[in-house]
Amino acid sequence: MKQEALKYFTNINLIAFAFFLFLITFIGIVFWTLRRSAKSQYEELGRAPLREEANRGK
Amino acid sequence: MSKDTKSTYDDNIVKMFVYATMLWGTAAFLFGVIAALQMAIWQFNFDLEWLTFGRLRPLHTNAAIFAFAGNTIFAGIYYSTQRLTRIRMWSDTLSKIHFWGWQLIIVAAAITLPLGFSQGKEYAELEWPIDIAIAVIWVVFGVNFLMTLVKRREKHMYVALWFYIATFVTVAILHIFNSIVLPVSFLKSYPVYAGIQDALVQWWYGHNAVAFFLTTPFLGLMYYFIPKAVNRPVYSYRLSIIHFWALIFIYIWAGPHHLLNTALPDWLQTMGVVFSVMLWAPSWGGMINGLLTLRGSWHLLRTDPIVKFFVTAVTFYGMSTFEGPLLSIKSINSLAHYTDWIIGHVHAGALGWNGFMAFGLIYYLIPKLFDTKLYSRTLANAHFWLGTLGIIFYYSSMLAAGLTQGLMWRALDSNGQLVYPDFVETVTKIVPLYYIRIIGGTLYLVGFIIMIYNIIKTVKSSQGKVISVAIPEKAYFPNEKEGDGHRKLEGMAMTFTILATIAVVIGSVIELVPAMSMHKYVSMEKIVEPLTPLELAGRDIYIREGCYVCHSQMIRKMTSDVLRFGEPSTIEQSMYDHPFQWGSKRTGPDLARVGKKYPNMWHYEHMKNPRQVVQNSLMPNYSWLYKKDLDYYSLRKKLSALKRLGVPYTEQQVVNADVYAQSEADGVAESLVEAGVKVDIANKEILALIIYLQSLGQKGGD
Repeated sequence: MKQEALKYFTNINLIAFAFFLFLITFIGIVFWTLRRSAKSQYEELGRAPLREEANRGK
Repeated sequence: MSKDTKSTYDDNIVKMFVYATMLWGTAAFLFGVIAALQMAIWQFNFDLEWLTFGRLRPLHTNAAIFAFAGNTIFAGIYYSTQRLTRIRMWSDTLSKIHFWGWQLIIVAAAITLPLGFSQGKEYAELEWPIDIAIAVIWVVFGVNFLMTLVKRREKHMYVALWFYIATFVTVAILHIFNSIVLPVSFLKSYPVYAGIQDALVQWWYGHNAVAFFLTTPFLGLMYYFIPKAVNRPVYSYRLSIIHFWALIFIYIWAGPHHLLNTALPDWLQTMGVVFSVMLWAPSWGGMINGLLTLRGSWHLLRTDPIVKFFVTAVTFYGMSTFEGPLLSIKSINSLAHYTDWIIGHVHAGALGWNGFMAFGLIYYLIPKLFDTKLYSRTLANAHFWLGTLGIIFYYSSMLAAGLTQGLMWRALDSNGQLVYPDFVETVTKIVPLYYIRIIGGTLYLVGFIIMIYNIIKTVKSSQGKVISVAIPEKAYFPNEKEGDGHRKLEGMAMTFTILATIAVVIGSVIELVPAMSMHKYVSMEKIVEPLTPLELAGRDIYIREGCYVCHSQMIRKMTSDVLRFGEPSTIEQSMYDHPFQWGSKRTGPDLARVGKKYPNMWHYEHMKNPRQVVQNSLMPNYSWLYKKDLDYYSLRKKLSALKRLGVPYTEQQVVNADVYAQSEADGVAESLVEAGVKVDIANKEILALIIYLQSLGQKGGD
C-alpha cells in the first residue's frame, strides 16, 4: 500500500513546484521582515527579554 | 515564600534540570575520556563486554546529547519561557513528569546500551520501549510548553520561543519517523527501512538531531541569555527572525551530506551539498548577531566569566557552522569522511558551542535562582581556560589525525598503487595524536568538575533560603486594553507552530519520498540473497557490539577506496539490511567485501585477540563471544519479522531457521577444529559472527 501510494509521487514537476513555493515563501518572509516601516516596531519587540526585568513585580 | 504559586515563576524545575545537567555532564565527559583512552591504548577496554568501545561510544554520545545537552536545554527553556510569557509554566505536574520521565529514560539508556541492546543507528541506538517513552515525555514537555504560550500574558512571542517551538516540533517528527521499527522481542527490533532508505532516513534524522537538538534550542538560549547577560537587546531582532526562518527552511534538507560519494543517487548527494553550503549564510548571520549584541559592552568579555563562556560558545558556533558546509563539499568530504576530522568537527560544536553555552547558562542561573553571588570568579575563569585549552587540544589533534589518515588512505605511487596498503599502518601513525586528545578531554573534564565545586559552594552560600520570583502583575499588550483581545491571541502560538511544522515537513517529504520509492533505483536484474539464519544471528551480534562505530560497510566510488577495499558498494547489496550498517567512521577497515578474504581461522584468532593476526591493531578483544551460547530459538521470530518487512525468506526458511542455523554453526565449528582449534566452541556466538563476516560482499548485487 505504502509502496503503491509512493509510486505516484515521483512527479518531478510537483517537487519543483514545492521547491519554488518554498523559496518564494522564504523570500517573502525576508522582505516582510526587512521592510523599512517595521524597523522601530521590531526594535521594540527585540527588547522583550529586558522588559521583564525592568517591570519586575514584587 | 508565597503560597500562591500562580503569582511566582516555577524556578524549582529550573534548578532540578541544572542539577541533572551537571550530573549527566560528568558522566558524558567521563565516558568520553575513557573512550579516548581506549582509542589510544586498547587495554582500556578491560576485556569487559559492557565497557568495550563499541558499546561505550553510543553511551557517550547519548549521554552528551540527550542527557547533558538535553537537560541544559530544558533548564534554559523553563527559565526563559516563563519570563518571556509572564506566566508560570502551565502545569507544575507536567513539568515534574517531564523532568523525572527524562531522567528515567537516561537511566534506561545507561543500563541498556552497555548491555548491548542497540538498534544499530547512530544517536538512535535506544530500543523501541525507550523510544516510545521518549516520544511520550517529549509530548508532555510540548503540551506544557505550548499551553504556556497559549496562556501567555505578553503579546509578542520573542524569537527565542520560536526556536523552542521549532525544536519541539521537529525533534518529535524526526524521532518518531526514524524510530519506526518492528519489534521482535521486548528489547530487540528491526527498523522498517532497509539499506539506502534506512541510510537516508537515519541521516535525515542524524543531521537534524544536530540541527534541532543541538542548534535551534541553543540559539533560542543565545537570543535570550546573551541580552540578559550584557543587559542589551539583541543586535538586530530582524536578523534573528531571518536567521530563524532560514534555518527552518534549509536545515532539514542537508542530511544527505553524510552520505557523499556513496551509493546514494547523485542528485540527492548534490542536493545535500547545495543546502549545506547555503547554511553558511544564516549560520554566520546568527553568529554575528549574537556577537554584536555585545556592542558597547565588550569590556565584559574581560571581566565577566558568563560573557566569556557565551561569546566563546557563539564563536565556536561560527567556526563549526563554517566547517560543516566546508566538509559537505564533495571533494573535501572525500578526504575527511570516515576520519577523525569529523570527530574533531563535532567536538568543536559539542564542547565549544553546546558545552560553553551550558556553562554560561549555569553560571548565570545559579546565582540568580539562589539570590546570591557566584562563590568564586577565579575558579570560573580557571574553568573557562581549562575548557578552552581542552577544546584546542582536542580539535587540533583530531584535525591533524584526520588529515594525516585521509591523505595516507588516498596516497598513490607512480604506478597507481596504494602507498599505504596496510590499513593498520594509517592507524598507528595517528596514535600519538590520540594521546593529545586524551589530554584535551581530561582538561575539559577537570574544568567541568571545578565548575561543579564552584556551584555547590555557591548554592551552600545561599544558606538554603528559598526565593521565589514574582511574576510581573501587568500583562504586556501594547496598543491594547488589558484583557481585551486576549482571546484573539490565544490561537497564535498554535498557528505559528503549524507554520513551522509545514516548513519542516515539506523539506522532509521532498528529501525522503524519493527514498521511499527507491525501487526505481534498485535494479531487479541484480540478484541479492538474503542472509542465512546464522549469518543473521551474526549480524545481530555485529550490531550489539557496535562494530559499525569503527567499521564502515560502504566502499565509496573513489579510486583509493576501490583499490583498498574492492568495487564500490551498490545500493542492491544493502537492500535487505535492517538497519543499514554503512557506518560513518573507519577506525578499522571497511568490511563491505571482507567476506572470503580471510579463512575462518583468521577471524577466530582475530576476534579473540586482534594483535595475533594484525600487529599494532587497536581493536578490543572479544573474549565473551567464545563463551556465550548462540540463541537459536529467537531466529524464527527474527526471520519472520524480516519477512514481514520484505526480505524474501520462504515459509520453510522461517520455520526451520533454528535447525538450519544449528547445522551452519556445526559447519563453521568443524572447519575451525580442522584448522586446529582445540577448545569446545560448539554453539558459541563467535561462529555466527564469523559466518556473517564471511558473507559480506558475497551475496550478489554487483
